[in-house]
Amino acid sequence: MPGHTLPTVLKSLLLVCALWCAMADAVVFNLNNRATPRINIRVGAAGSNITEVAFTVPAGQIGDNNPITAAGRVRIQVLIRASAANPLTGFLTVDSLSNPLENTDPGSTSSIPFSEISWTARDGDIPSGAFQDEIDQDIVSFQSSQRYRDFHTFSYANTLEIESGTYEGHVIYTWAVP
Amino acid sequence: MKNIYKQIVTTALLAATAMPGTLLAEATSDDGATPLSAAARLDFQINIPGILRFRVGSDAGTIDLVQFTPTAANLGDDTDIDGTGGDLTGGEVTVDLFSNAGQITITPTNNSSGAGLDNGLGDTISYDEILTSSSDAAVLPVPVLSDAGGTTSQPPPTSGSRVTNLTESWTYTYDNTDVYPEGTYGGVNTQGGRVTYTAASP
Repeated sequence: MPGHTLPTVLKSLLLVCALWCAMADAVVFNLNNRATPRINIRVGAAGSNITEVAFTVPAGQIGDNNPITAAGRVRIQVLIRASAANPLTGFLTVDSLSNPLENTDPGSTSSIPFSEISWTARDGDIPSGAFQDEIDQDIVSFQSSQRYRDFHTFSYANTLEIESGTYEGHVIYTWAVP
Repeated sequence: MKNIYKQIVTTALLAATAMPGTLLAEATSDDGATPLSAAARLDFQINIPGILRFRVGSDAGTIDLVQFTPTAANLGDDTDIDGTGGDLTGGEVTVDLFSNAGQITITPTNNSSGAGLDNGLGDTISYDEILTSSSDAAVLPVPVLSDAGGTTSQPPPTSGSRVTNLTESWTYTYDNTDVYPEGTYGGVNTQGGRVTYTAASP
């Protein structure tokens, strides 16, 4: 019936659009092999600045063991390309020890260990975990030639009764081929 | 038309850049012979607000009354008289203190205008007659009471130099060093009988 044609077309278009969107979120991309090996890592959504993940603990909940989840997800993406004849394996590690979260108040010596922070992976390709206050914590490894992408949501465990202030630090993800 | 599209795109980019929470990435690459290594940083910030929570006696807004009733036979004989009342009974009250905002100072004041507890007939008993003790004086000392108020105590921080988290009890005793005219001295927020403790951070 003509009266049903337009809604049906619209539904089909919406379905196709939804499927396309889902496909756009696929997390593993097979890449063409490349004679000269190449790796790439990207943490964050776009641009060239360093992404910041922020947590704000409500005054009545300091150290009450109820986790605080940061707003937004952080894109973690690694790429590795090599020739088919000489495939390579890339290893993703993170350093959460060298730059701990320190109180920015100059009069304070207080700090929060990164082991208070964990993450949940949206897809699991770069799996969920928690920082372990290590220089060289293994996260995942992949073989060439592929690009892996995941989105991590970070949480602060909030187990510490700690002095007031703003605590800042950073972790360093390293994507490497030995 | 082309300029309109350009303007739209430019506006959208500016808006996206200005949006709070916009996440920008760090991306690096390496290529050539192995070994290869590329690193990207991720910043974290945790905001911990300052807090001070202080309780003396019952919680939920109840103000406790501690009473002393020396017997006729031992009036002024220097025999200490235990109190009654307080949330722990026997003249004992719970003291709960939590702060992450620095060294805490506890100061008592009272509503006697410096005169002590009175019986409504012009007679007074000095706050010096009320002795105080703590379940752990080294951890959460109780300030000495006085007619003028203002004698302070400073519990040492329990973690680092700015975090204090303590629960102890304070007990009140009547020193009974002198004989006073008969009467009821002090009371529920009357005749100089109310002590207010204030905990403060720097």
